[in-house]
This record gives sequence, C-alpha cells and structure tokens, in this order.
Amino acid sequence: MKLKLPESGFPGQFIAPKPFFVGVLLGFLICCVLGFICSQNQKIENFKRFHFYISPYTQYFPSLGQMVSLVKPARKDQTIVIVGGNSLFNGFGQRTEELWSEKLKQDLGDKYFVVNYSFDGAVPFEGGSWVAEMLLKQNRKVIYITTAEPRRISAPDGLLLRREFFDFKNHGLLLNSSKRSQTLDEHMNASHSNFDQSLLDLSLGKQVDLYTCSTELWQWVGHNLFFTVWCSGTHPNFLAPRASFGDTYRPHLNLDGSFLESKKNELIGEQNSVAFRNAAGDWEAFSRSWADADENYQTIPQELLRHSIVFVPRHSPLILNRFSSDQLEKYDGILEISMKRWKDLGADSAVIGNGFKPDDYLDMGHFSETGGSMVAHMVAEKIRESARRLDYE
Amino acid sequence: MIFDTYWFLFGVVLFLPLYWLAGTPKIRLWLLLCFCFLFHMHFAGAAGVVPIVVLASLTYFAGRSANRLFCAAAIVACTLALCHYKYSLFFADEAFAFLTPEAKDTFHSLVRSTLPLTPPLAISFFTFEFVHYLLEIRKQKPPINKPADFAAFTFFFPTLVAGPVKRYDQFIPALKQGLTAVSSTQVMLGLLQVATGYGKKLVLADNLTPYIESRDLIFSTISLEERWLLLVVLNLRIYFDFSGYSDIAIGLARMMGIEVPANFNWPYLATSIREFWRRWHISLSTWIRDYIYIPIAGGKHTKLRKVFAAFLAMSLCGLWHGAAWHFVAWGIYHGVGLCICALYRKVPVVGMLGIVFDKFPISAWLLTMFFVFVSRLLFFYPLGDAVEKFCLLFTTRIT
Repeated sequence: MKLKLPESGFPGQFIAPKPFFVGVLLGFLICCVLGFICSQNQKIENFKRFHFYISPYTQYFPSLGQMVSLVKPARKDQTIVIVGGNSLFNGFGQRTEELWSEKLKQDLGDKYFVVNYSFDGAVPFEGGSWVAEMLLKQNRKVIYITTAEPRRISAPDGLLLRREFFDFKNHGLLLNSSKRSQTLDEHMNASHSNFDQSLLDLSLGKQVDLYTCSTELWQWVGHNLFFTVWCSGTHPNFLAPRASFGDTYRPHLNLDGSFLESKKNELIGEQNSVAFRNAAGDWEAFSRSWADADENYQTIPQELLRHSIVFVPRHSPLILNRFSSDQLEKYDGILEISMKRWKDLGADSAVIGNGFKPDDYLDMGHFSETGGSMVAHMVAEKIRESARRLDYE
Repeated sequence: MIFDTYWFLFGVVLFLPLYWLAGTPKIRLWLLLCFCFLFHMHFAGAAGVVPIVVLASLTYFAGRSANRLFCAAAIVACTLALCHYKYSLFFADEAFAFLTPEAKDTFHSLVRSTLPLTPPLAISFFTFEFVHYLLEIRKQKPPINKPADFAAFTFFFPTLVAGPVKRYDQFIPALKQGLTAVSSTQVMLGLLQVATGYGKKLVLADNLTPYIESRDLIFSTISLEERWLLLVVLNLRIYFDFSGYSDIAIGLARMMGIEVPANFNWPYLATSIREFWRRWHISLSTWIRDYIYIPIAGGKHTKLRKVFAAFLAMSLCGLWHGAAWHFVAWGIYHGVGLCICALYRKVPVVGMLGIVFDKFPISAWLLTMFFVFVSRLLFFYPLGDAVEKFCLLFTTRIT
C-alpha cells in the first residue's frame, strides 16, 4: 500500500518551502540576537529580594543576565556583600520596607554594596554564591553570607537553580574547583553509579543556550511582557508579566501547640542521629550522618569559602522552651559542631538567634521584623570583622 | 517525555541533515538504523534493548519461515513477554489476593525479583506491531525479507515510544519512498507538524498539568463548576499531550519523507462513541478492531457474540494502557458505550433518541462528550476514587 503525501494540502498550498525555510532560519537568528540583547539589558526594577512572585515557587527562574545585572551598579571601591541562603535570609514574612537586608544595607553604609540573592528553599551555596564566585574571579571585594542548618547539604549544581548553575559554568564565570568538576563528571557519566540523566540533558541544553540565549529572551519576555507558565501562586493572573507583581505575598503561619509539639519531636528525632556525647563528655558528630554533607562541602571552592560567613540559625524559644535541659544542651552542641565544621573548611561561621525572644521570630525559625533588625545588626558586625580580616577596610 | 530532552533534539538536529544529504537509499537506511540504535540504547539502556532485540529476531525469523505454526508460536512468545514484563506483578497480586498479607508479600517479592526495575521501553507498542506482523504473515501476506527493513520497521525512532502503532504493509512502501527521495515540501510540512506537536505538548498540556495537580488535591472542596472545569481540563490535557506526541512522531517521519498514518482526527468533535474511537488513538483502535474484534465477531455472527467481542476487545484495550483494574473498568465502560451505540436505534422507544440526535447533532455531541469525559475518571483514578469523584460532579456538597 502506498500512501499519498498531502503535498498540495493545507498549509502546503499557501507556503512555498524555500521562503518557509528562509523565514524559519531568519526567525531563529533574530530570536538569538534578541536573546543576546536581552542578556545585556536585563533589569529588575526596585529589586530588594527574589520575592514569591519572582522565585522558583512560581516557576520563575531568574536568568544569568538578571542575576548579574543586580551587582552591576556596585562601585569598584565598594565591598560587595552577597546574601545567599534560604527563606531565613530571604526575609520570609517580612515586609519589603522592613526587610532585614535593607537594614543591613543601612547599617553597613556606603562602603558596602548589598544584594539579597537568597531564595526560599535554597541550599547554602547556590544562586548568590555563583555571583560571588564570578566577582571573586574578577578580583572584586566580596563577602558571601548564607545560612546553613546543621548537615544541610546540596549538590554542587544547587537544588532550585540548577539551570542557572550551568549558565554560570558555561560562561566561565565560576572559580575552579577540581572536586566540583569531578563530582559533576561522575553525575554525567552514564557508566558511573551516580549517573543523573536529567543533569546530562540539562548540561547539553545549557551549552546550546550559550549561543542561542533563549533563556534570556524568554525570561525578559516573562518579566516584562507576559508569562507563559501556569502556577497556582499566580492563578488567575498567570499570564501577567512578573514585573507587574509586587512583593505582596504574606505566608499563613501555623503556630498552634500541636504543630509546635510535632516539630519539636521531629527536631529531637533528627538530633539523635546527628551527635552523641563522647567519653570526654563533649558532643561529637556521628561521622556517617554527616558524610553526605562533608562530601558536598568539599565541592565548594576554597577561595569562596575564605570569603564566606555561614550563619547557623537557632530556632525560636517557642519551640526550644519545649526541650528538656538535656535536649537543649544537645541542640546547642550540634550548633557548635556545625559552626566548627564550617570554620574547619575555611569559612567564618556564627550562630544567629542567640538570646532572641519569641517575638523576634515569626514562627519556629523565621525572624520577625524586629528579629530581622537584630539579625542585620549582628550580621553587619560579622561582615565588618571579615572585611578587616580580608584587608578590605 | 523523550522528545523534549536536549539529547533527542541534539541527535535529531545532527541526524536529519546527514539523512537528507546521504547520496543513496542504502546509506540513508543505515544512517537511520544507526540513529535508531543510539536512540533506543540511550533511552532504554541495554536491559531494555536486549528483550526487544530477542523478540524482534524471533518475529523476523518466524515471519521469514511463513510457517503458520512458527508464527503462532512467536505470537505466543511476544504476548507472554508482554505479560511477564508488564502484568506478572498485577496478575500475581490478584491471583493470590486470598492469601495472608505476609504470604502475599512473599509472593510479590518473589515475582518482583524476576523483573527489571521498569519494563523494557515501549514493550506494549513493540508487541502490538510484532503480533500484527505475524498475524498478517499467517494470512499469507509477504514477509519483510531484508533484516535491515525489518529493523527499520521495528526500531523506527519517531514512533518507538508512543506510536502510532505501525502496519508493516503501509510502513515498508513509505520507508522505501522516503529513502529514495525527500521533497522540501515534505520537510516543511513535517517541521510544521513537529512544531504543532511541541506547542500542544509543551505550551498547552504541560501548562494544564500543574492546574490539574493543584486542583485534584482539593477536589472535594472546590465548587461544582470548578470540578466540571477540572474534568474538561483533564480531558484536554490528555488530548494535547498524546496528540502532540503523535504529531511530533508523524512530523519527524515526514521530515524523512516517510508517511506514518495519523493517530488523531479531532476526537472531541465526535457525535457518537463509535465515531470517537474512529478519531481517537486511531492506530490502536484499528489494531483492536482488526486483530481482536473482527476475528471473534467479524462476518455474520449473533448479536450476543458481537457484544461479547466488543467487551473483550475494549477490556483488553483498557488493560493495554496499564496493569490495574481501573483500566479494565475504563475499557468495559467504553465497551458498554459501543454496544449501546450500535444497538439503541433498534430498541423500541429508546430508538426515537436516534431521530433527536440526527435532527440536533449537538445533543449527540454533548452526550458523547459527557460519556467520554467522565470515562477519564476511570482511566486516571483507582475505582473507588473515580466513583467518589463522579458523585462529587453532581452534588454541591462541599466536604
């Protein structure tokens, strides 16, 4: 049986092949050029933080151009403070005008240029950390600050912003880290036990994107003209450009007794697998339970760690007051272990939340606006200290 | 979805120009086979490729022998392989449902240990194509002589993962035609169809998915209107997803000058269940018709036999989609629909409805769509959930 091709049918009868192919090729090239132009002209007006409507939670993944544009205004003489980390430093629940990182800016003054790159749910070294690497590579004065709960780990390519990682990597903006390269190679090697098909595919796609700049074009359109992806967070206005969304999202908080009790039990359960009291009476880490984290920490470039301050957060008294004295002692012991590990790796580290009252927290872990002011003040002190250590002042 | 991976896009962008520029049909065929092999190896892995290669070899040699007994044996082997990889756990669980939970678990683990983590990629499609081929050979049709042609029929990458289910007597001439010459019009039309497919899949279906997921979780608390909207969206999503995939497959084949039959023809415009099945997943429904229904009930048979054949065919169609009772229920539901559709005009009084449908086709369309849309509940949810969701479509009660 021989099938006849609809050569003269719709749309074949209206379009001749040659003009069609020329049109496709021209359209493609124009999109690539537009993408490149967009990459050079990305801008997020009145940026304070990556709030809910311009975050991965609403399917918004800022492009390399957008991330880089945020530090472009920094003067050469200024020390650039890159804020990374998760919702704690994103100022979860804080209003923009009272955002802790805005207070940090005021506290540090004109000698510093502060940009908040943190994302709700991000791991300690992703997003902002890659901007910091880029700036360090350019020999700029940089201090990277982030939060990290004990044992918090991540893959070398991050968790939420894996695409952006490959953008930074493919553009040659990251510092050298042989351990990171080796880990990524393992993940992209089909014969290795750590093989991750999606990572290999992402890496391939991002190599193409280096030349086509399609992400930059799509992101520019999504930010300024219209968005194309539905998500419950922007329903029913999901087509609206993201620039039209303000930083207005306020979370619903759950602080009832049973919730706190269950969280307390969860925390205590976690503690039991993290550390034990050794013969000398000190708290010591179970090396097996920290192994993944330790393995991950090795992939962070040493140069970046040297310019980093990792803040280990302390939970609200709302929850810690439910601990017995033994449990609380163990809790503090684990914070100490965590801090020490970061210091051993070469980063500076401190606990935030010591001496805070329940009102300084919004829920069991996030800081309220008053708590945010205290965090800003404490972080500013640490930054100045690091700046002196790094001979920035 | 394999078609939206960069590996696939890269591969196709490299492969197609080579295919077009190749000087002779022979080189084109070998290029095609190499890419099919790479494609299958990459997405199925060696563990997924080996069983298919074994079944394909068996099918090829049985076909070449043109011996009815060998062909029958090969059909049994292919069907058993499908049952083993896809249904053995399901059958084992159901067959030993009467045992104690511990004994059931032991038996489950035992069967599980004989299976790979996932069944070989697209084994259902492979099996249907092999069985079709062998049945046709049993009807004295000429077999495919050249192993390379048979390999191209079996491993043709555009249709490998999700069809359309090919017929060898259509495919081989189309393949020869494509290997001989590809016109620029074919490439253009193919490219347009591929673009349409990606649009349906990535822009429409993938955007509807998160909506469905978010609303599905709170189905019992949303308003009645939104529940119906969700049902409509559920149906649109599966259509855009599947027909988009088919468009990409058919378009890619066309870009190689190879015509593959259409798989969808505006199914949601059907005004009867029979018409719906002539428009929806055409390659599968015609397969079921030709190789299950007609052998049982084709020609002059009693109505009872025809009804039985329709039920059996549609139940198997349901089971083909997945190893669970709700798929079987979905198939039976459609079997009932097809029987009613075929017989209702001959029933006194009820037959009057036919006059109404003829006069007002929109009423027939609305009833057909209601029947089809509701059936998706059975397709996507376990039986209990499907019934509960169905009830919630008619009650304003918000739980």
